[in-house]
Amino acid sequence: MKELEVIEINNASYVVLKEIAHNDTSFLYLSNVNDEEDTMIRKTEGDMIVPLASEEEFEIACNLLVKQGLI
Amino acid sequence: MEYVYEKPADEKLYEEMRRKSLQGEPVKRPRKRIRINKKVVARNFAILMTIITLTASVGQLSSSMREKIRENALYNQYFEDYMDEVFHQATHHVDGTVNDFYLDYEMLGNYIDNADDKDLAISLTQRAIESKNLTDDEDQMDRVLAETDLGVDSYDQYLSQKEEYAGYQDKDKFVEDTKKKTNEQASKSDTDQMLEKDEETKVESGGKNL
Repeated sequence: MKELEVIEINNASYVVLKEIAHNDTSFLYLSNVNDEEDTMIRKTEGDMIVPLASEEEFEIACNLLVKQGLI
Repeated sequence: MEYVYEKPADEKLYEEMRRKSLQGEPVKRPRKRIRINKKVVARNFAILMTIITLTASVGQLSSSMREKIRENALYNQYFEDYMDEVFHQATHHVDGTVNDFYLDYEMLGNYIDNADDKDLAISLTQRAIESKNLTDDEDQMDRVLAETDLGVDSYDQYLSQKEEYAGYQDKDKFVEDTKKKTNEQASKSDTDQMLEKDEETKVESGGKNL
């Protein structure tokens, strides 16, 4: 068993599969506990979790995860 | 306990993820944690990585590079953790003593057999074995791969050897006895062949006399 952080979004539970710090924020890579194909990326703003601001930010978040995969 | 890798993702899942990532309301971070089965986490992470590699800029990479990224991410983030459990079971007897001579190839074979993506499963198993220094012997690796095709001769050989080894506490003694037995069998087989030849010669010469 593995312990993961869980976040409620739109009445569904998402686990944080990965968190990557970037500049003054962190990107959270989320997966629905009950539907493995339901995934999304969010970012932190202090104590809050917010949607990504733009397509560019989405690309950055994807590339950061991919870069980690190359290491 | 088998790890079953499922191939998900198409462009639709990617579009859905992109849309959801850009929409919605801010929520307070609750810092709540739950416990999840490791194989479920590994599978979900593999799905996430597969979807991510469909990102436009990443998508320009070759398919083999995308596969490498997914495999690396999966291994580094979760699979290594999961394989620790697999190998713990594969190298320990039921009574808890370490079986350092044989890995449980039946178990590894089952795991690979049950994986939808066999190439990935073989590659990750090979990598885990190498990284854990469980073998420096190419023969052992060949045997793991042989287990992916259950029913081959080496599988039967493995099972009989495993049964014999179960009675030994001392690895060196097992190796010594096995060598001795093999030599005896080889020598017996030579003697049998010689006797058979001798019999044939007798029959042949008898026939001539008749």
